[in-house]
Amino acid sequence: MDWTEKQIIATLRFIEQSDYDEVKLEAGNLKLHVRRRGAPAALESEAAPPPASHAAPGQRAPSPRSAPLQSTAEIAIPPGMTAIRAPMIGTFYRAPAPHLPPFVQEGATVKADDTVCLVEVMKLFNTIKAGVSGTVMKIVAQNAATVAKDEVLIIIEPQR
Amino acid sequence: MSIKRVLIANRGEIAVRIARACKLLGVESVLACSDADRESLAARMVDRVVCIGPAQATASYLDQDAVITAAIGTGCDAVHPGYGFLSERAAFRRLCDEAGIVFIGPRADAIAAMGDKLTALRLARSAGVPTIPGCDELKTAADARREAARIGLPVMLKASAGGGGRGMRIVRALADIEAAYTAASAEAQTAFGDGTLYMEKYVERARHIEVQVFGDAHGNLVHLGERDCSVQRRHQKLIEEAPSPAVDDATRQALTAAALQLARAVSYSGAGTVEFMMDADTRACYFLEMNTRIQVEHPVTEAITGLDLVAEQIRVAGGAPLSFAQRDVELSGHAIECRINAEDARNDFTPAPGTIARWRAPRGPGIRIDSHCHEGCVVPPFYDSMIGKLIVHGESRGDAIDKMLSALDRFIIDGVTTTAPFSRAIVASDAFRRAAVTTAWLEQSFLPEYMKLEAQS
Repeated sequence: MDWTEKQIIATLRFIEQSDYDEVKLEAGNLKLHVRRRGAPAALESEAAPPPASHAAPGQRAPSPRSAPLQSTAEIAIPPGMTAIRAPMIGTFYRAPAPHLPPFVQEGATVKADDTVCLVEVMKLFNTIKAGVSGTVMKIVAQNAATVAKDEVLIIIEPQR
Repeated sequence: MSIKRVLIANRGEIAVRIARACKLLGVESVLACSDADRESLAARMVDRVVCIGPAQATASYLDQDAVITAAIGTGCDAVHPGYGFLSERAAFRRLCDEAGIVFIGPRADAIAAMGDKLTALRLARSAGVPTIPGCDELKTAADARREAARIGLPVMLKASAGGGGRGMRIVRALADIEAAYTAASAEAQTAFGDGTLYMEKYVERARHIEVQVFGDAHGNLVHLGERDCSVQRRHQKLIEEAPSPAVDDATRQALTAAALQLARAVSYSGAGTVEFMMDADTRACYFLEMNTRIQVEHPVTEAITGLDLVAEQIRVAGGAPLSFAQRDVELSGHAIECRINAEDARNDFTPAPGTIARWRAPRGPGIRIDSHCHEGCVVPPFYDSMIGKLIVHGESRGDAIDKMLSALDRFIIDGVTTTAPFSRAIVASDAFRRAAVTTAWLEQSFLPEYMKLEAQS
């Protein structure tokens, strides 16, 4: 059977009112594991992922690093290449909006004032430009990941 | 039915504020927070913490189903949405209703009506609340000339389809109207594919005045006076005060009566704010919008009324009648609030997340700090830059200004750059002390001077 959100909520209600400390339930597309004390309730579904707005907790993409202010190990920049770095700590975005295509793909040709990505910090979106004309060699950072200040985001091979 | 356990669906200082109100009322509290806020001050104050998603707000604080599920899963009978995030989403209120959870705020229809600009304006007009004179749709340059003459100059032409300043013209002389209409319409056509314009009276010197209202489910409705939030940068309030130094008794009477009329038109319950633009020269007031939530600047109203608005929100949402009547509301003294943001004012207000190395907050009679920050706490890059609010209450406005200056001098924050020194410079300025401030003042007059002085020092 396919579980609806209402049924899941009703089930959670029932469990809440019961005496059990821990409940594991597998039925149809639903795998439910509820623990009353300790860790918060987790909800898992093996069905095709529903739209993001209907996703349940614990059923989303891996969360970004939980220590947001730490910096990562420096990656090597091949000689002759230019690294585009994060101007400040923030969230890296490859596209102007979630439903729009990325600014650039690997292998694309860019001009110096082309926008290649966004870094969001405290609700402020910073537009990051290529800075040099050339070819996008590698997109290093993961979309929607937290990036540290000066972390390498994209590597560009400048045009000669 | 009185509320027994509240889910706090927010973060930062307002989560701390709600947790305090719960404690005061003897109500249990559960914090629904993101992965980044597990160690926050609010998380340490509540009875239980539920992580509802990763740091990014879209996947946690803005995820309606995650919040509802957390509320049900932890046995909460109510949700306090704070401000921002889900606080003014009518759909979220409906989800709460369906799940049998009390939403601490007004009904869904009131949220929806005030959330839609045109509906709100229509309601305001039919409730007899003054709105900005204007004309919805201009078809020709001749229309523009006729309407400008009717409304009175100056006027502003705006693109119906647009925003961001394009297709916008301020017209100060009737002789210029045709040329302005043609240019703005062409610009709108190019930018938005639609050349339709509308016209509004343009207020050169405006102040932002707002009235706090409070209603309950039993038909009681009161106002708690006004606040003045004219010190703004890019439409963001920086300093708020109550009462407004620019509002006289007659204007106050008219404004509060208008705010109550509008709130009554939607049978408003809970805390709400009716915002007005006041022409600083003529004192004419025009309705802007109604915010159907607790506001950031509610403490200045609390200071001059002696009321606890957040505790009252919880009581009223639980079905209790308002604990005070209009005749019980007495406004005493003057209060000022400075928002402290983790931003570098000298560097175009660049956000400055980081770790707070030192946090020494001023204390004393008439000084209040609403903040989630402390030594060693991390200001993450994922959310709003506000790290706290400093509120002072004095016998007079001059007294409050002096108190604010002294409190800001004693406020030591190291590790992140904050706007506290910038706020101090504003409060210390002659224009602020004379209350000669409009919503454009900070950006047009104060900031250029401030930058010049900073460059010299």
